[in-house]
Amino acid sequence: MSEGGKAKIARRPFLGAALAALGLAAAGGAAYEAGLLGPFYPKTPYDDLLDLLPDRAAAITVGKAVLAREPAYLPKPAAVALRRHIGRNSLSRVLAVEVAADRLSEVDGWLLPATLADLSALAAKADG
Amino acid sequence: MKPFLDARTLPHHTEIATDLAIIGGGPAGISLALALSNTPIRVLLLESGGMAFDARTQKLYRGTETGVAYLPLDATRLRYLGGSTNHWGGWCRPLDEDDFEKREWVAHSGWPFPRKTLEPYFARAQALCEAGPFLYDKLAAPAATMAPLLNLGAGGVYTSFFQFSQWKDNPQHLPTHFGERYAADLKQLANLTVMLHANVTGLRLAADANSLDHLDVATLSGKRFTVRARYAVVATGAIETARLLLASNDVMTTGVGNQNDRVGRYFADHAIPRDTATLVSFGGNLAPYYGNNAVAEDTHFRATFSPTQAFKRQRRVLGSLVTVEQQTKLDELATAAVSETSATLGVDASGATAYSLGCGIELMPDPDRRLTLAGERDALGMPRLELAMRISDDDFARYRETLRELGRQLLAARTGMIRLDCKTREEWLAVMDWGSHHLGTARMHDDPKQGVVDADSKVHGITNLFVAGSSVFPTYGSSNPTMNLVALVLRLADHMKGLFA
Repeated sequence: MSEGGKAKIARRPFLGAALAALGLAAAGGAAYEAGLLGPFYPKTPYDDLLDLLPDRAAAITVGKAVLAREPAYLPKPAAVALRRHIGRNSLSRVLAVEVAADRLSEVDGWLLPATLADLSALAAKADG
Repeated sequence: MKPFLDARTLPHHTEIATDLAIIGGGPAGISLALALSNTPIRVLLLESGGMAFDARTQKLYRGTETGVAYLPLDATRLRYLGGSTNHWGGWCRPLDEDDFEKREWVAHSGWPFPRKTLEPYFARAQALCEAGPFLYDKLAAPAATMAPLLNLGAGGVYTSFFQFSQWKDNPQHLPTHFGERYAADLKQLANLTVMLHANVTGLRLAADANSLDHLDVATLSGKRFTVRARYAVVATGAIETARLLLASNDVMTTGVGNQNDRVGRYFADHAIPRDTATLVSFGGNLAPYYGNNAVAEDTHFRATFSPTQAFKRQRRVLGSLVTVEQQTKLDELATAAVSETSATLGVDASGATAYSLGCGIELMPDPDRRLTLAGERDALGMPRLELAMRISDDDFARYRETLRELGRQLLAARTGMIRLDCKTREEWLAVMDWGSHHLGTARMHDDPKQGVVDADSKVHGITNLFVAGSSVFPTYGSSNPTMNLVALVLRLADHMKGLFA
């Protein structure tokens, strides 16, 4: 057996362990992606609205930037206004109408549909 | 072949007679001389410099500045045969129709004629600039066969196309340097004499101030002589044209053509602040012809974003162009904004790519953005200039409105989004740069109280003096001036032929 072969044998347990670890990580990642392992968000009075957001973690980050310019932000009236504005429409429909009507918000310069910015602010406030 | 003359070799106080004197050997002067070939008009082209850069000659351009930071006056242009085409970028695009119109929201707007008056000259101007066939926005189809255009959907901003000057047979693929490129052609013209190192230092009017009597000419070697021409055309660029007109104040004490205090006012350039916005393409890399030149249909071109004429009217904005520059990275907030927005729109943005955006901004005509004579004099005894440079918050706001519309359209088309990087005046000025496109100081207007030259580029009140070049542009558009000023010069050449017929 060649030296190269020995080396392969010697590496085999390590490779197996590494692959097993990678498999666990991948499974964990998949579970994370599926929402099985979180992130976990405690219940809020605004979950009917926040559940509309497909990427809540990103929304919280954006929302913090919105709140930074609106220190007097009050979530309850904001939620009431959002519910009234969205009504029974899908969020994508609401956003499409807003964009067509040029109803956009600037969040640290980023142009977003206004309702998306408002929902993000609510998500950030709810996150504490 | 007739060699160029060197003014330094002339005897002192020589007096030269000619039919037409062209002052300045930049793209305007050279194009005019070429257009008057095969005519009986004896043409003398007087160029301050030689065939190459010379520091002493270049110093003649020095001046002072006040107001908003601007480029040094001796750094933004070149004083030798070919003029500033010796360092231009080659960007070509005709002005839009509305650039010529009087618009109620644009003070001092309105050319004396519509775009269609210039249209017959665009193809020849394009040929002189060696920018390939005249295609521009017709390049959308061939570009799309190379790689998809970024879908902007419907709205006030569209994908526009610039074409580029490409110096024929130049191994470095530079834009056409008019002096070197056309030197041999100029030497072939039997009716033309090109005189180098000849600086016109005065436009001397007849005593009645109604006509040009002669030109004072000087060399840096100390020679002084006179040119008597039936007609003269000042083609020295928007800065030097103002200086020559203002400094020629022996008969008209306010300067030639300046009886209504218009000469030197309305100076303009295209503001080109850097990194004004960030564009994220959800679908990944943009087609290469956005960020760099590409070749199709025998022309070099690049895609930009421009406001439609309808948008300009509706939102009362001026012309601008948005260029895609280098790729850029996104910070945490930007990544979150892209992730949230794309997910909410139902778009996969996992391969999203971000780009910095550049621009060219048309400024509102401003009579107080102006050139005046300074106390200091140059080596030839001519007064130097002082530039009062200004840009208003409204100039920035109008361009921001166009950027915002671009962002709105990207969201509507679900193809991307943008960040507006500048909001306050301080933020705009921090990234400010200029295009070195000097414009407007001898503006064209039918009314002598509102302009320096008339629709034929003749100086109001002077029977035999004309101005050629972008100094006559009353408004500026967002297109680079060279190809447009060459078209205007070709029209002037036809007028000249009529005068001598």
